[in-house]
Amino acid sequence: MHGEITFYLLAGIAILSAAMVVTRRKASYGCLYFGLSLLASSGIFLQLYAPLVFIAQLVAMACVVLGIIVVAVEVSTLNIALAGEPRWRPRAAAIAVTLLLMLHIVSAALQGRLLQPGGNLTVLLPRGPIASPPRAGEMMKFFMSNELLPLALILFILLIGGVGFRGIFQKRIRT
Amino acid sequence: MLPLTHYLFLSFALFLIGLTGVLTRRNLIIKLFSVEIILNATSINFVAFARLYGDAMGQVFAIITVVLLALEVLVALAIIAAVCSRWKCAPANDDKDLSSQLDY
Repeated sequence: MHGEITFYLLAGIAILSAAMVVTRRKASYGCLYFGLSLLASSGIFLQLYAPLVFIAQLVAMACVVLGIIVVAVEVSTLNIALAGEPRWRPRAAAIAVTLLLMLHIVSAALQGRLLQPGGNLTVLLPRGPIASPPRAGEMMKFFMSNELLPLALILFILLIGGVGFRGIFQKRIRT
Repeated sequence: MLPLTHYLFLSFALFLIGLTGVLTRRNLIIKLFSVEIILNATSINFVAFARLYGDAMGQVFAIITVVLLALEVLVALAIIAAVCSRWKCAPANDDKDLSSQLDY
């Protein structure tokens, strides 16, 4: 019963947010509703005993939405609904994401020395229909381990690419 | 676990909404979001069937989809920005919003 209520709540949020994305006129509002839809979908992933997909979607899509806001709104100097916001906010958000990714990479690299080869793999993968959902402590430990190191490295490279794209695009606008 | 039909209906609804956005909206960024919603629906299908059969391959495909989506969004944003820069559709001090500027 509890699982059904959670599912209906998350599904309703996902569908309504997706509908708002399509019906909103301003892309900035659509971006926010899109993030909400992805959050609800990641909750459904967690309910389906897929914590790895949940974390990947959460981290990747948070960075994607942040990148959309930073690149398409702030960087390209298009004057939209968020243009009245101070410019230090998206920069501070980008710096915070960078620091978080670097913290994760360093933590994963330090833990990687202590692990046996393959010792921590497939811990949270599904074990059949009687598997119990992962606890919050397990998920946090998994998030800070070296399992997600390739994903963090990809996101870090994407972030550097976004910053480089920003520099190139601003230079083209000035010229 | 809930019946599989619940997840199939959810992914079908998300797919229809995304398809509507792709076909009806003219804003490039909204079209991009709609494509993302469609691919998110496929990820839900992958994970639901992986749970049903107790196989991790569906989750692997879902993770690949998520990472590919992240890459696709940045490439699409670069293309949109390049198109706007080339066609001068990005006035810096205009009161128009982004949606009207990116309509083609």
